Amino acid sequence: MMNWGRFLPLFLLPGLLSSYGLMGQNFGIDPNREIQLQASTKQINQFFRRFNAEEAPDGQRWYEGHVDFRSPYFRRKYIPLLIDKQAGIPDSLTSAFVAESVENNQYLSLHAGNFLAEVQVVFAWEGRLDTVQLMLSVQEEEIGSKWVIVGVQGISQLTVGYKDTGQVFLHPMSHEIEFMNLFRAFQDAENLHSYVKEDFSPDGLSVLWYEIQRKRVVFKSVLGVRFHCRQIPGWYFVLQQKLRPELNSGWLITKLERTRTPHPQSIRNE
Amino acid sequence: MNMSRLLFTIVLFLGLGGALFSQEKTLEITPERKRAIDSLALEKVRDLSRYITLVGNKSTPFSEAQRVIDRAVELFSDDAQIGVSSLNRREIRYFTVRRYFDHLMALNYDQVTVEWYNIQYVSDLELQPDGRYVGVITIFQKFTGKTNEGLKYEDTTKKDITIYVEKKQTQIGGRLVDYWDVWLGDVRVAHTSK
Repeated sequence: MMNWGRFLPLFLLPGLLSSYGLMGQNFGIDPNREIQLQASTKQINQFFRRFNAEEAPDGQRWYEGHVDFRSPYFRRKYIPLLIDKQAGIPDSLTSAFVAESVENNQYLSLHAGNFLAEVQVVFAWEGRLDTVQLMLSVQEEEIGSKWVIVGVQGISQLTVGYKDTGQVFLHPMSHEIEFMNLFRAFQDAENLHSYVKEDFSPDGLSVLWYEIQRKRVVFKSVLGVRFHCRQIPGWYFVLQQKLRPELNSGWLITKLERTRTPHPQSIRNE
Repeated sequence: MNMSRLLFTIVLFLGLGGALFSQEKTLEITPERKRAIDSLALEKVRDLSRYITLVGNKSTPFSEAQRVIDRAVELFSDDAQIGVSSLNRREIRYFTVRRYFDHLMALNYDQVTVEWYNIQYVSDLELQPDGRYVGVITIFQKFTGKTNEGLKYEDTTKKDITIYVEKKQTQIGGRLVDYWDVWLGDVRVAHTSK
């Protein structure tokens, strides 16, 4: 495992840091905290750059052609530091992940797909607060790219009346009365599942779309975000931000698993 | 953008390499150009940091603070929002830039110190569908508020500041000159520790 002590002196090169100095009069700043913040993985962008060894320990960007750009040596040092030490991920699993990522030349990119954002959002649903998960992915455009919403999970209204009790239904001769008994289905919101096909599951994004169009739903706030990544064949990991006064902080891998399929079709339901 | 700021921008870029002014049509940003844009963006962020320090300082006269807030608002796009969460309240609360500064000025402490960690992280620039580039600069601020009764509040906040970058043209001495304009967008403020 990586020993921070060997790399920390690099963060403190005075010439590199002072060139970006903001105010220059930080009398109350704790130097240890500053070292922690320097070590912290401050952005997803930095997570990618560190994972790929595309930046120096002090944050200076390395581009193609630089002697250390994507260097296996630096990658073996960096990647273990991107694991949340408090997440209980076994060292053996980390070592295997590092070895496979480096030896197989696997790199991460915002634009490589299989990278999903899960954003916890609070909506007011006719005045009542509800927390849902928006799933977003990066969509490439003719010019540039953008994040787009690909799914919505956790709308509590969707679970109402989930069970088919077997007591209510459109009887099998309904066709002979031109389905005039449909009125019964649509008066009975709590038992709606008894009237639709058994494998039906409401699509959260469509519901949210419709409700927003009808102005019955109002966005209130973002509660948090985490990312699901399957860009490394045979691996799945979750990225979360850990804001804590430690070297091992910032955007870190909080869940790491081997997967059976190297490139799954979807990671929406993780 | 006022004229002096524009000239500063152009001079900065001339100083960092005349190649920046070629009339190329490509939207590619070379590493050299990225470094020049980073310098310009960090200059704006330094301005913002200075303004926060000035407005937070209780010894800054009200009229001076109001002028500083006006300058701060000019750094941002019109619709920029500051989204603030704390360790106890995960939910992001949204403020306009002016409201955020007004809130800072009205804090109920007798003595306020705003200091900045000597750490800035500048992301890569991503091209967005409207042809502009977007990036994020992360900085860290230490806030200390004290009352005359001796009560002290301290926190460290992480500020993730959106920067927008756009290639523009202006006429100088009858000649069209390219320059890169940088301005600030939404800012995410998260408390990292007390």
